[in-house]
Amino acid sequence: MGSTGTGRFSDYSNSSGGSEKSTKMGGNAKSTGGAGNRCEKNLKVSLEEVAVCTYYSDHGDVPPVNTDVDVISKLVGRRIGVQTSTVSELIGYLPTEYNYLRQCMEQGYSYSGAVTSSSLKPIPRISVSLKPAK
Amino acid sequence: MSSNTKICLVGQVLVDVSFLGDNKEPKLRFGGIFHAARALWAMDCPYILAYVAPEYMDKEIVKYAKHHGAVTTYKIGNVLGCPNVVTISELTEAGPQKYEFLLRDAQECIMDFRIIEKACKDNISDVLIFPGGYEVDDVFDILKPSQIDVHIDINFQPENPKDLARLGRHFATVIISTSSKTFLHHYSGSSANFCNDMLGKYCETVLLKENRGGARFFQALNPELPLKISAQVRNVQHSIGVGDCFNAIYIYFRHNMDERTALSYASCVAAEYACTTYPDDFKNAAQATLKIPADEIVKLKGVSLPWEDRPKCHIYIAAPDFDYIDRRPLEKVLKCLEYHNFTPRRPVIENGLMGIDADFDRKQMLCEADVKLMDECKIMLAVLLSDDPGTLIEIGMGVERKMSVIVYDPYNRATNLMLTQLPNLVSSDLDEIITAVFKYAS
Repeated sequence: MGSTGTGRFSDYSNSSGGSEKSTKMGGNAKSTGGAGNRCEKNLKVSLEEVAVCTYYSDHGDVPPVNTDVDVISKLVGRRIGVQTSTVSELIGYLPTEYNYLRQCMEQGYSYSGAVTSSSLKPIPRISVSLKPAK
Repeated sequence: MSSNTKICLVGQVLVDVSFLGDNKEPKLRFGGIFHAARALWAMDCPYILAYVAPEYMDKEIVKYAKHHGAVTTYKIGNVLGCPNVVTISELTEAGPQKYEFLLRDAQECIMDFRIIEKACKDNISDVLIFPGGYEVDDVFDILKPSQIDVHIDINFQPENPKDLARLGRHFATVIISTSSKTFLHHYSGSSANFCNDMLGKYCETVLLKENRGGARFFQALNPELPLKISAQVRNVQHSIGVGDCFNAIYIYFRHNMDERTALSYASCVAAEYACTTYPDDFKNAAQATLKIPADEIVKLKGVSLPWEDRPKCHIYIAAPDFDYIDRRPLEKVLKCLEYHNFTPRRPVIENGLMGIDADFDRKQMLCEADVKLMDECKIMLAVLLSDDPGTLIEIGMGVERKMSVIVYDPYNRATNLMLTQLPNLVSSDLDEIITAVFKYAS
């Protein structure tokens, strides 16, 4: 949640006129709720639909740990895809709760990182770590 | 965006007081039509406020509205006998919202016809009405002879939808949510019943908002084929006014793009409203949403799960569902599932409690019945109330059967490797649990 306190209205937008005050929750009532810019956070994500992506289809395998990966800036079908950096093979999709990255990418951020774990059984799974850059 | 669009928001202004728990200070901010106002401000859409409120709020309302982009502010009614304060103790709507409207039975509102008329003649393209707390008929009477597009959110009022006839012409949009008592009781939770009664009779289009399950948009010309709009999944901080935000953004965009695109942007911006109560953070996120190209926003995968389809989603409840232990977390999650129209299946309740002296045949019968019940379910929701071996075995069975397995761990008990790694989600956060149910059910 944002700014708090019941003494006065405090959720004014930036600039003068608002009754901003420091709070336990967010520090300053102006922005970010103390949570920081979500676009600038490092992420650790377990990818989805690995078994239907190009990499698995073509190789019958999952990429090894430390393979460099990028988040694809345009949608792949209806989803945000992750590909290998070197050959641009689709390895999986970000869960839809990360759809906000699409907005971040429109704001100039890009995301890349590496495979942190991968396994074939019981089902093909890939986890990646991602770092933002702008 | 079109320079001719100017929206008049009609309704009451409230003070929302949210209790955050965990020794955090309560959050106090303007509610009522200000949720829609913040959305229009974030879009840089010109709007005016036609509000009712008690006198003590007037100065702050004018100041806040001016600060957040209102072109003009009209007070169309004065509220007496009630402070227009709402307390909110369930923020995220994982389950039933717990609102308390203080002194609601004592509320009176003295309307000012001249000011309503003035507001409606302020060169506006659309009126978005939120009834409740004032005589909406007075507003209908003044809008009746005009050409202005009138949209109304009937989530709370009027209790009798026939009162919509008073406008004397069709509403451009009638908006309702699946959590509305009118929808659930008057129309038995059926979109078909609702649309049959509304489309072509009171309105041209119906916007049915389905909370976390997306939205459907019905048009009089083709009521059988609604547009289905996905809900975007976010880390929800609150649910207050999110639907109002959706309404306002759609109404703004509909003049400049087709309905599907307008609704898709509205859904995405509304999801951003639920992520924060910081106006600037919301505006930044909303503006970034607009940068996503239209052809992508309509495709972006989210959750689409119509209200009427949810009862078909049977959820196996794996838990020590015994009457001699403290089941409050289990009861809470069950209430949430029922609130969202899912069908939880409780093996202990349906098939019976084993009993300490049960013989081999009864044990075998119960075991087989529970396994059969598991066969009938798409999702398993386990609730870790204790180190109950039955629950843990069921989780393992669910994983092996490739069911979606969600583990609600209210006491943070899960440390075992298999238990933390194999299910689709393990969380002590009820909101995350319900979000996951929607995700795996859709």
